[in-house]
Amino acid sequence: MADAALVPIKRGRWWGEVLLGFACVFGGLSLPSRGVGPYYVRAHVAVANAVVEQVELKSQVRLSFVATPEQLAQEPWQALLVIAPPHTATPTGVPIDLRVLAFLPTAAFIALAVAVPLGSVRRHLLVLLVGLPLLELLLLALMAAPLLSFLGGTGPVEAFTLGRWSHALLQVVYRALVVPPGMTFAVPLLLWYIVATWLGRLTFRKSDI
Amino acid sequence: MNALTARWTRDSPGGFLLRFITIGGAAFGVYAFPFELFGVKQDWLGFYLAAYARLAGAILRLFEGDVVVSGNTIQGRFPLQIVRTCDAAEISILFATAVLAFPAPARSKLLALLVGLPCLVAANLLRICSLYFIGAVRPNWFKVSHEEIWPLVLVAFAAFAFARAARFMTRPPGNLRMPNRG
Repeated sequence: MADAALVPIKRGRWWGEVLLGFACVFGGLSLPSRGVGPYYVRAHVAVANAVVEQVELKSQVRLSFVATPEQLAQEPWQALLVIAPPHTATPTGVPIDLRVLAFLPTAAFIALAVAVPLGSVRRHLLVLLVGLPLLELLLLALMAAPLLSFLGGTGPVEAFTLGRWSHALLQVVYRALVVPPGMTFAVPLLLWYIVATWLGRLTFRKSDI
Repeated sequence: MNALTARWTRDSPGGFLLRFITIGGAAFGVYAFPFELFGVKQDWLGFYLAAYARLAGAILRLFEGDVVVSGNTIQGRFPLQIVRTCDAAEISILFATAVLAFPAPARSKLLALLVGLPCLVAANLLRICSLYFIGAVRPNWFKVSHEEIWPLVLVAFAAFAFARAARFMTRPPGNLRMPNRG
């Protein structure tokens, strides 16, 4: 029964419908360039600050995330990580573009979950309910990787010390999964595939992989 | 060990994912490894990036005769520097990994790679050339084209190319010819 959902109607038409659905959902979410940016950034900054406030570093370096109305007026999708060393007056700021790093991957995942036929509405909802939290955790880890490496010695302020191999691992994650622009969309695509396959493996056959 | 081998060779989405993650992890591990942390010269891809720039420059010269390529930099109305990630290596690695992880005969995988990878390189050259003209004519659109539109187009193209390759690779033996349309 479920298998029938992906039995190709006509492949060209299937691709056309998927692309159209994806374009509508993704475009609707991401086209307004300023859009929900300031709210999205403020929400993330509030959560991130709640987390970093709990962290006490031996080096006494203080971390905080900032997104002032003035900053958001200029860069509506940008938060700033402020790294304040204990004995100097000049903190270091690291800009974080949340549109590319978090919002667009999330929008792409939602669009995929909605646009690609999975056989039933329940499966679409399950992919969203299971996949979105996983995606957010994954994106958080991907954003944290370069920051940890930066704070661990590659940046100007050493908040803690990391070994060479730890840096290497973080840098591989950063250069492979964060820096390349294509990963903004490849990461949600891969996660969508894993979740959709896992939740409804009967739907997928070898030829549909 | 036997269980791992059984999982590895399994002709199912789970087996595909295991192979995909392993092969892709190894490929990205090499491509993205910070060799400079271990005292090795950092620009080991310099020659390849310069070749990419020369190729893109040659195409651009068809439209603008005064485009000059120096090292990995294209000089013209809008200067472009070809650095890591401009080569869209991540897209090629993902495509190649997916093809290699796919349960299919080696010969059909090789054919899929021989056709698919040049198509991805061609798509990326089109991206670089279009970015040059966008930068020259509409500089305000460059950032969104570079960071949002083209990456999405390339990933969608790679996914489509893989779907076509998967279809080609699952053809019955003795029928390994390239699909014409469909």
